[in-house]
Amino acid sequence: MSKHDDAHIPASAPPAIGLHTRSLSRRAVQYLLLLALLLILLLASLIIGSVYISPRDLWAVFSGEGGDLLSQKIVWQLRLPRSIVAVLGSAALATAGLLMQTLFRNPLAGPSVLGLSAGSSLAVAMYTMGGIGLSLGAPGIMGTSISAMLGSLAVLLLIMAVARRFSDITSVLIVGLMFGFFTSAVVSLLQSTASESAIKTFVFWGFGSFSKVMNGELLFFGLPLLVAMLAAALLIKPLDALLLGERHAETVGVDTGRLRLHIVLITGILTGVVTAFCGPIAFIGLAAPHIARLLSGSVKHSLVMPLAWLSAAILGLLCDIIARWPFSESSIPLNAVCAMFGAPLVIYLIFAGRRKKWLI
Amino acid sequence: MKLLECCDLKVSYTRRSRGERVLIEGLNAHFEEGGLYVLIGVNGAGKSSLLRVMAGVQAAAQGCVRLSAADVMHMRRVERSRSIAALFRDFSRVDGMLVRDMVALGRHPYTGLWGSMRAEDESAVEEAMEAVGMMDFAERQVSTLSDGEFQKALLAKMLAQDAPVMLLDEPDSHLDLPSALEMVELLRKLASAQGKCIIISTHNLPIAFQMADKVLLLEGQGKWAFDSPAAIAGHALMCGFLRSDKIAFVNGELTFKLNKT
Repeated sequence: MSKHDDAHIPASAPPAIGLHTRSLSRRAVQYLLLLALLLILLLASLIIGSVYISPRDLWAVFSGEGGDLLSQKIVWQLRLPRSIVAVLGSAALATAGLLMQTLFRNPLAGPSVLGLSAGSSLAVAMYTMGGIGLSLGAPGIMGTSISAMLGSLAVLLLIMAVARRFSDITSVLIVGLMFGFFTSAVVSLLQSTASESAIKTFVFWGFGSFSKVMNGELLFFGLPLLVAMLAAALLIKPLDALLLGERHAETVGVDTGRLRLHIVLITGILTGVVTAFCGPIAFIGLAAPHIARLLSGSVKHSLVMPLAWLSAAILGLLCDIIARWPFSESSIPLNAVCAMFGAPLVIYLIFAGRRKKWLI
Repeated sequence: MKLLECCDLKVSYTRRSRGERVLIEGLNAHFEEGGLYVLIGVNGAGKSSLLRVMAGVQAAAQGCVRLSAADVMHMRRVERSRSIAALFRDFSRVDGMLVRDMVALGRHPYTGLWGSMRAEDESAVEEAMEAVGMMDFAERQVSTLSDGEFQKALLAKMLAQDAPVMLLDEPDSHLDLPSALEMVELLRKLASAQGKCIIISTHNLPIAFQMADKVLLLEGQGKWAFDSPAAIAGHALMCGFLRSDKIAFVNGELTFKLNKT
C-alpha cells in the first residue's frame, strides 16, 4: 500500500480539501440521496418480478384497503421478506468484508478469505451429494441451511484455533486459502460420483439467492446479523488503530489478540449465517467497503462502516431485482448478476474516483 | 528526574532448534526526563527487542522495566499508552488516510468508546502537527508524503499521544542525511522544550555521538555499555561493534575515518 518518493507532491500543491474531507452538509446530502435510492429500490423490489404489482396495488396492500389476495400474498410472504434479506444480508457481508480488509490490511480480502464459505460449500456438498441428505430423507432447504451453518462454524473454530496459535495474521489467511483449495478438491470428487439431481441441488445453492428465507425464519436470519453488526460497530475505534498495523495498535493501548478474535468471531457469524441462508455470495462483501471508502473519501471506520451498509444494501437489492429478470418468467443466478453487473460498476467507481469525479 | 528504569533486565529469544539466545543481560539503566538517549549496535543486537520490552509490548526474559516505579508489563493498557508512545518500523502507509486523521490516531488512549474527538483532542492534534512543522500537510494523504514528511507525521502522531516517554526504532532510517539530522534535532528540541524522555535506536553513529545525552551500546550477546558519548567512544565494546579494521574512530572528534585499502 505504500507509495514511494515518485508520488511525492510538493508542499505548495493545493491540499485535497473537498476530495477527502467532506463538509457535514455534503455528507448529509450524500446520506439522504443514498437513503432515497435505497427506498426507491425497496419499492421497486416489491413491484418488479414475474408478477407485476402496480404501485396502486402495492399501496392497497400496505394500507389494507382492498387489494387482491394474490398481491397480498406475494408482497407479504415473498417479496418483502426477500427484500429484507437482501438488505440485511448485503449489509452483513459488507461488514464482514470491511473487517477482513482492515484485519489483513489487504483490499482484496473479503468475507470468503477465512474459508468460511468454503467450509459451508463442503458441508452442503456432503449433504446434497455425499449421501448425508439422502440418509436423512430427501435433501431439503432446511438441511442445506443447517449444513452450511455447521460447515462455516467448523471452519470458524479452526480459524480461531489458528489465530490463537499464530501471532502472525498472514498464517491465518494462508490457512483459510488452503482450506478453500482443499474443499474445492473434495467438492469436485463428490460431484464426479453424485447423481444428476444431487449435483443440481448443490449447483443451485451455489448460485446464491435472497429468496430462500421464509417469513418464519426471518428472525433466525436477522437477529444474529443485527447483533454481530452492532458488535462490529462497537469496534470502530480499535479498527481505526489497526489500520496502521498491529504493533501500532498495541502502542496506543489496543489488546490486539482480543481484537483479532472478536473480528474473526463477528466475521464468522456474519458470513456463516448469510451463506447458510443465501448461499455463497462473495462479491458484495468485497465491493461495498471500496464503494464506501470512495463515497466517504476516508478510511475512518466511523464514516466507512455506515456507508458500506448503505451501499451494500443498494447493491444487493439492485442485483436481486436484476436477478428476477423482470422480462421473463425465469430468473438468473444472483452470483452471476453480481459479477456481470456489479464488477463493471465497481471498476467504473474506482476509475471515476481516481479521476476525482465523484458520483455525489 | 528519573522516569524510565531498566532493572536487571534480560532480553532474549528462543528458537526451538537452537535454544535461547541472549541479547542483553543484567541491564541496569535509568532514563531521565528531558534526555535524549540513543541505542546503537549491529543488526540483530537487540535494539528493537529492547525498545519493545521498554514499551511493554514484549515480555522480558528476566528483570523488569519500571515507569515511575510501576512495572510496564503490569500497567493497564490505557495507562501505559498514556505514558509511553512508541514507534516501530513495521508501519503501513494507508491509502486514502489523511495526515490529520493519522495524527489523531495518537489520541486513542484518551477518546471514548467510539473514538470521537473532543475539543482538547483536536487541539492536541493541532499542537502536535505544529510542533513538527506539518500544519501545511494536515489535509494531505499520507501516501503522497515523502519519507521524511511521513516520518514527521508519525512523530506528530506520537506527540498527540501526549506521553512523557517516547521510544523510536530507527526514526532516521530511509532518510537522507539532512533529513535524518533534522529529525534527530527535532527530537532533541522536543526533549528539552517539552521535558520528554526520548530513546531512539539508530545506525547513524555520528548522529548518535553528537546528539545524545547518553549512548547505550549493545554488543548482541548479553554485554552492554551505557554512558556519555565520549565514554562510549573509548569503550572496549566499541572495537567489537565496529568489527572491521577498515573503520577507525577519531577519538577526540567523535567522528569516524574509513581506512581505504
